[in-house]
Amino acid sequence: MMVPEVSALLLTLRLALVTTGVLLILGTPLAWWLATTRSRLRPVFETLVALPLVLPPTVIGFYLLIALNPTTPLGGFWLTLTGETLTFSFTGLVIGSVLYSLPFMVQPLQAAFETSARIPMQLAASLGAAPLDAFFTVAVPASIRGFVTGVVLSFAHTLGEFGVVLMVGGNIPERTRVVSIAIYEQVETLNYQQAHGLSGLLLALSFCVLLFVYVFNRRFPVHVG
Amino acid sequence: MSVSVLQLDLDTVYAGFSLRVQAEIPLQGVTAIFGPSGSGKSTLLRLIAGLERPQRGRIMAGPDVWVDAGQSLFRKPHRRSVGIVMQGAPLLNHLSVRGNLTYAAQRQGDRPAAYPFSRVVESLDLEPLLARRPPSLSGGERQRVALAQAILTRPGLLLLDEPLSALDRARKAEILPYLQDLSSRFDLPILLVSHDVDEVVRLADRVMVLKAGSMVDFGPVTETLNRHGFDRDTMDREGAILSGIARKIDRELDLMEVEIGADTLFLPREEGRQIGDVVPILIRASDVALALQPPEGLSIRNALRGRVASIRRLPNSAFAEVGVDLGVLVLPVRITRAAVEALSLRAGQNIWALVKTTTLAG
Repeated sequence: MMVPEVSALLLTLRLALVTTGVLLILGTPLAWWLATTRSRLRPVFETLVALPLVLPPTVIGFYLLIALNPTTPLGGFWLTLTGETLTFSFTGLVIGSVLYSLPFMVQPLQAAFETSARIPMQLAASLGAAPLDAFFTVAVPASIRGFVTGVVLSFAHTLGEFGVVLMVGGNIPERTRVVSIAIYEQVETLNYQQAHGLSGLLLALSFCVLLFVYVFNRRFPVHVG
Repeated sequence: MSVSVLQLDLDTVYAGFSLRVQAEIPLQGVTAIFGPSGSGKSTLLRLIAGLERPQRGRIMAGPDVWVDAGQSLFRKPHRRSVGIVMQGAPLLNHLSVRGNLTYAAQRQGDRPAAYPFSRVVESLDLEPLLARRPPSLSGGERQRVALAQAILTRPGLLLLDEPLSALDRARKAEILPYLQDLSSRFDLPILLVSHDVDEVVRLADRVMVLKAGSMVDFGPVTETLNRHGFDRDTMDREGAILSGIARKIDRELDLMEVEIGADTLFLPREEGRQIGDVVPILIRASDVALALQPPEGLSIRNALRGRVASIRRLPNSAFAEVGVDLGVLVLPVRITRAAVEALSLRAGQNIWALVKTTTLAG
């Protein structure tokens, strides 16, 4: 009885880690662009990034289910490439989670870039640092709080994901059955003890992760030049 | 080598106000950009540094085109041979002072070091600060670190944005000596933005006067400021700058004697002043008293002989402005209208203008 829940927990952690990693790679340039662009399209992109905050996860999940299924170009391409469908697979879960947690990575990063990195970047440029050099040696350390906040919130938010995962991934043990879905199933089958165990674990984990953010932000106050 | 020139030809709208400047600034010594707050001084400096882009205009440093908006040409700031100390002297807060300095020194490609690290550190007295973090530095210390950082990039031009404005009097006195001979010590042309006439008189060789985004005058400090007035807020004419010659320097009393025409003023000694130097002296209209006879039994020792050239009673005010012709120029003096009556001042009368020593240093 314990084994499937352990695998659900491991799958959840793996999903949260991979999602956070992908978000860090995709979200950083996106946040930088939003923080520095003068394009008139900026509010449109900001809105798109913020949408997952207000949309019911089932809406995102529904559209993804339609967009990723094997009859679409993307889903079909993936199927011929890997022999797997995007829907009801771990890759599909990652895509869904990345979209769902996007604002939790991009917004803190964008805010940090705008408030903490602008002047130091100008200084670095005046000292002769090329943009990419200045980004890694100055903008990243100056925005470290934004990075920590973004990473931790994305991670924690993905841990607690339910609707998107259920729509895109279903409930396949060891493939797409994450903790939140396991809890739902345990409750449905009146297995309250198991549900208690998993819920308590998720609660404790989320508490610790968020506590870390707040303690970190207190210990390392950002000095704005 | 002939002195090259920074050519500005800008006509651009920036954040709601327009900036119009056409000038050729010799890349030698210290040039001040002077004007009241909001006149566009900082924007001009940031355009030269490449931190802002003009919509129209050109900036050329010697033969190098930095900006030509018509040709969509824009050289990025890290490719311009220019150092800037921004307002408030921001530093890289995640690095130590030493880290800040090496950051600058290490990003200059293969160009040979113009000044060894140790010499820059030494000349700005930064040795005791090297291990510190920027947030723990005082305003004056930040300025010195930022100066060193900019110098270490071996710029062809150094831009300073209000280097003294955020500092209190004591800190100003601490940082002034470093600024005073920076240009000659490092053979570095400096462009200095300031709204403080004292700073301009102390530091600059020539001055560009900006008002509401337009350049209204450009030339040698004394003549240009005497022409345009220099009160820090209104830019109204509120005093004059005299040029004296240092004749004697008394290290014991910390005074120097400065000759102006037939008169001698006793001023606080300035570090680095030599006998024979031309000393610009700023006298504010409100810091002068008038006497009909040469002063006796007064603590004020500085008296300049002159003639009353004009008397203008300021409407709705207790004051009048008396123009005292000193021969070299007419010094505006602000006294009460009551005093004008009491002394029965009239044009053509001989008069003594009394100036307190402490007010001369600014």
